[in-house]
Amino acid sequence: MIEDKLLIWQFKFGNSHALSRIYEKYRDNLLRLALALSNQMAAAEDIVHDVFVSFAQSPEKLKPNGNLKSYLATCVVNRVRNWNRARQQHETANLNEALSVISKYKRPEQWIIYSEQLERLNNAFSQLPYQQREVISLHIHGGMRFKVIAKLQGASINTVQSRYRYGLEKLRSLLDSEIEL
Amino acid sequence: MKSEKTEKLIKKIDIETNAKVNKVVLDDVLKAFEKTRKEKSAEPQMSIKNTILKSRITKLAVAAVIIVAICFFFTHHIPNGQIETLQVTQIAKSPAELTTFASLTFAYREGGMEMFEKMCDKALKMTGPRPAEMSMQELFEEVNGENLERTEL
Repeated sequence: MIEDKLLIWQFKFGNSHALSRIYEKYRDNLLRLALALSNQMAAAEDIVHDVFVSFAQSPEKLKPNGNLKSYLATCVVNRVRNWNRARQQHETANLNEALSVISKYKRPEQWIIYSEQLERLNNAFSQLPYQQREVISLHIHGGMRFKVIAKLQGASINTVQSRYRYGLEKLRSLLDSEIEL
Repeated sequence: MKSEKTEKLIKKIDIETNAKVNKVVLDDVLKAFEKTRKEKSAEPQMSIKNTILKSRITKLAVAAVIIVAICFFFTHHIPNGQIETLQVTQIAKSPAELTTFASLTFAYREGGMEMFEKMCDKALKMTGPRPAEMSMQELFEEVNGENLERTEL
């Protein structure tokens, strides 16, 4: 936490080493969050790339006493929401069908190295409603409290906690059934 | 599998990334950062200038600040005596001007007897060498170019 405060100050004062450290520290977490929310590797990579670039371009937006991890996680969530909206507008195919298919297209320079465990988890994640997925990902990968997530989703804390509980239950049953198979 | 276990499993699954792409993305991020930093360092000068020139109030405020700063500089960095020397001895060009009632009173008020004597010395130096037996009254008459008795009357 103290390291984050220091990094925020250094970054705001134009220190590029602080930015590199922020990138190293939160890159994997944000990639995991973006992947869980978008369920597409290419999209997750693009989203995290764009989040870091726009973060580097606007240090003044970052509050010195803010939570760096939550800030970056919120940026990812907003980008994923925009991406989803744009996709919904342009896509003619059934969205639910498309969400369940994780892109395994191998690009020449892939950022995320896909493991079997990650694939299994993301398959299960893709079957959850988006809001449940968002609550679980933000709480676990983004380290955000339910109160903050409630504000972000425009819902009550109870609703958010229910979404988390139901989502986790469903995820458990999905993963259990996969193990049994 | 219980919910807590699911939570732990989600937390446990690490993501592996390609080191080469990590570096490429970091380079992009740093480039964007440097570019923005350069643009922003050029921006404030323009904006300060524009802010001053745009509003009449800011123009007046800036002028007032400059005047206050100059006054502050003179009062704190130049000793009092030096100001008097600068003001009275530099402005007054003749011994008559230096020994007027107003300038002598002013010098006494600001620098005491020391300043008063300094002014008189300066006036004497300007008038040149005089005989030792010359009285103060004669000296003042010569310096002021008029008869003191007449003025007293």
